[in-house]
Amino acid sequence: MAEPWVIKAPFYGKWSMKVIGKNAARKQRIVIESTTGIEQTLDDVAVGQSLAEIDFPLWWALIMSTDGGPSAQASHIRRVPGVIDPDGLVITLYSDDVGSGGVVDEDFDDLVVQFTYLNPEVNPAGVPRHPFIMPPGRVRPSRPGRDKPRHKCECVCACRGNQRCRCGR
Amino acid sequence: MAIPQAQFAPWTRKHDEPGNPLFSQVATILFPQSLEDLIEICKNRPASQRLRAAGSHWALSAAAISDHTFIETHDPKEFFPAMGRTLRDVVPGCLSDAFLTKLNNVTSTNAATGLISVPPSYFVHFESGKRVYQLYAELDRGDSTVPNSLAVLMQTKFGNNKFLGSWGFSTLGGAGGQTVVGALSTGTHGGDFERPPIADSVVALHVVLDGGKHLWIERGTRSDPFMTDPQKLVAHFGQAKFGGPQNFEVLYSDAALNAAMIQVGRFGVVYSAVLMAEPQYGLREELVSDSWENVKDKIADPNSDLFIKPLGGTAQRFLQIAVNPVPLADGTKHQAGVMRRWTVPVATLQNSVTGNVSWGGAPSPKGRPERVGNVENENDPMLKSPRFAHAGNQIGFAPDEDTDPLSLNLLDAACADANFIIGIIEAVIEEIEDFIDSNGTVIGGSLGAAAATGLGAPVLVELIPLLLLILAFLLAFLAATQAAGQSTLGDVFDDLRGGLLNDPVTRPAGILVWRAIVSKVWESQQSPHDYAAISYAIMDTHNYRDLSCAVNVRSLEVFFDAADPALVTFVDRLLKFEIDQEFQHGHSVAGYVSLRFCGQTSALIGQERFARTVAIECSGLADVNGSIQFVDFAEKLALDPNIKGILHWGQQNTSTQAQVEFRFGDSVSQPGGPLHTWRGVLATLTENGRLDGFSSEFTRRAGLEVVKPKVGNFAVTTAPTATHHACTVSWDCDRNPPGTTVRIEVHPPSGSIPPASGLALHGSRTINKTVSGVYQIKLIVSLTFNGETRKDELALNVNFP
Repeated sequence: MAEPWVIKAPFYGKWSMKVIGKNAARKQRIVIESTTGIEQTLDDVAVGQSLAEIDFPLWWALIMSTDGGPSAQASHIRRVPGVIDPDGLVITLYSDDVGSGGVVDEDFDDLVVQFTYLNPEVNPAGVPRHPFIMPPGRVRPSRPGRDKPRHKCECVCACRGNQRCRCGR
Repeated sequence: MAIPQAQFAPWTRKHDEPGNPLFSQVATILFPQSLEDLIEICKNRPASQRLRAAGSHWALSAAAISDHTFIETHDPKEFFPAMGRTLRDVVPGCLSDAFLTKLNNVTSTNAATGLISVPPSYFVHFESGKRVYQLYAELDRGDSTVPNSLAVLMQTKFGNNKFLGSWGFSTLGGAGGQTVVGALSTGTHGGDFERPPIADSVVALHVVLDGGKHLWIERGTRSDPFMTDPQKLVAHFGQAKFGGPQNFEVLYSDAALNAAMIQVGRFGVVYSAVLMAEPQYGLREELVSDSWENVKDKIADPNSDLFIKPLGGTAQRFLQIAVNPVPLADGTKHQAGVMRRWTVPVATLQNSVTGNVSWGGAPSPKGRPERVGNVENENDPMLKSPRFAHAGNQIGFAPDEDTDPLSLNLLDAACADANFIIGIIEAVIEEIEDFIDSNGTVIGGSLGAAAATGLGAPVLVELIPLLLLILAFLLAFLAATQAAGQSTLGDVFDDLRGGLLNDPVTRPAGILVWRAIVSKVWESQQSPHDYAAISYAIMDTHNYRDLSCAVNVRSLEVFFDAADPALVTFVDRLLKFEIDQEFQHGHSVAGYVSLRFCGQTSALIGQERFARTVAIECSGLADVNGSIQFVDFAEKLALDPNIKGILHWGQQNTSTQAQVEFRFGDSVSQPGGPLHTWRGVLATLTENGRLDGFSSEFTRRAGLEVVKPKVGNFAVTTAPTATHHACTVSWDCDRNPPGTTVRIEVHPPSGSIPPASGLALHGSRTINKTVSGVYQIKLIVSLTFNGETRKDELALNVNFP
């Protein structure tokens, strides 16, 4: 079964945007639309192009393509949420542009745009981490029985009912 | 007889901090004993004293908290008797002949094939204070010895013996301490992915409303005969002691039952419920170790091996994925325990090694003696039901029953005595010593598991000076823990966390060691197993002797469509939060993230809204610094509209009205959806919200209220004439929620007349003629609730000659 796609991908709140992939012959356009109308149009976008902030209570991203002429076709979009380091919560849009006559190739790589959530309550900034890395071959598996106490332990299990076995040293 | 009550007494919940009740004193706690008591409470409620029913106090949300008066259906302290009877007056007393005939027919011998079909369902009617473990014990014992039971009726009326056996819940949550009605009214569920939650097994509810009227709500599917005979119901519940026939109503309606099944206490107090049970069965359970990173991409695929692992010819029915939020492999791997279950016939179960119970035939299958046991008192005065020796007072059924039937598995030991951790720490100390002794060249065990292999500098060597400091702390911690004796697991864990993580200088080494210790604790709790027992012994895993793990717990549960990628994102973001809080603040959660799967509910505001729903429980011991932050973050994340998780009504849930409407519909801009229907039923039962006795801070915040006012009567009482140049209109809009306002606008053919606002909910008003012609007189009722304003209006056209 083919994965579902949409024309308009919904977002809530403040996000940044960056174009991270493009593999299309047609020119790619990104449209940001809020509940009051089109807020921003980015024509002929290229990899690396970005917007620092898009912030509306509810808004949509559309990806369109043109063959250079005046009319643009809305692309099919797959909306894939995910978590990456250090940005945290991202939503990546993978688009499949629609050529003349409605032709699609379902590659969903014509334009790849990543949005990063800028709400610090829900997506606080990542912090530096100390790496815990060992060279290959230096990590040995657990030895069986090593999680037992080093001392001899005898459980007195004659107790029953509400009493509990106690471990004496 | 006076209803037992307590005044200015403390009120708290099971999972709150011991010794620190949620409320040091509340105005009134009532302990009703009967339907008559409930009717009296609801009928005579002072206007300023709202009510709310509580069951066993297992809910972690504010859903059971009353504005004023608490109605206890099962006193958790058992000072007062519970409303815990199993009832026979309706089942079988008021069952319809058509229903009984149908019930008999589906179990009759098929003349053509000679095959006898298995009875598909049994029906049990019980008061709302009965706990889950009490009911599963009674169902398992069966009704063959109860003269006025449905089973015996089927035998005497039809000669049908197939109802004389043992019965069980079709699904259960992970514990049985809640009252059945409390569990179903908040949407409690199991992990049986083809089965809806417990609420969907309910076929009828008996509810007492604010004002004292009581209502029998039953499924109303026309293709089936009604279960009950309405005339019999009215003859029984229309008695004077219940307020007479005018005080009782029967409602056969799927919509009403679907609303009432999960109503979070807002409709009224449930007196009783009828539940559909199925023939008793066994369950086989398997737990295998895996990692979150390995399984997460399979969740959205219903055909993945997570869901499809046949056992012989039996399809898998249950899946739970429990994830350790504290990572391994340098933060890239999280331990996960994958649990599956299959239905197996009771006859195939091994015999219990603890002996037989005196009922149900010998030998007893595994789990029956351990989790239910013999009848100690046939009519226990506190339970108002039989008391079973081992129902609700034992540790969970352990996998090593064969060898040591009363042994405690390590989780039980952990929860009962936090000193279990001593052995684990000693093992980790040896691993640290080995690492230091090798000059940082070799690392093993859980310490090694906490690290990852990779090219580049062996950065762990740099930690050796810090590990020496950590080692000193661990040795001191061991000595102190042994000297201190018994403590709660949360306290011990937080002392350990503080020593390892609080100091920013030693924190990197401390995190490595903390992760190693937590992974060993996890392994001890999620050790692989494979065994079978009677259904409830497998499903109810709760350790009823625990005095440590189940107290002072913070927990919530978030529901998603299992096919929604947001669920994996939710878990991944939560796991990232844990890593960040370890490094940034030295905090950490002591708990788990558990995914269970279930089918779709028919309850209108049930969280299980999807054909395959996943419920993600995020839980931690509140004593450990980092657990509360972890659970609170999970809630913020779930409520974010970009994630759109649905929170469990019975766990931590601070959803606002707007957030509930975003998930269940019926916002101002988009009325409709399941919440609209639910509110419609509430409006019907409460005179469109006028009767607000079961409203609470929780239901008002969440918008589980009537939010749409309605114009009641509005009419011209004195019409204008050629000689009488005034018109009088009157209205009655009393049946509306508190806060509803009334306004009248008069629009003459020309000119204007100032509107009249702030009018009483009922009254009359005279409008004088200004010009001749047709006037439009409009009555507008308006209600602003949680910042949202909704209106209703009715216009009259009046001709002024």
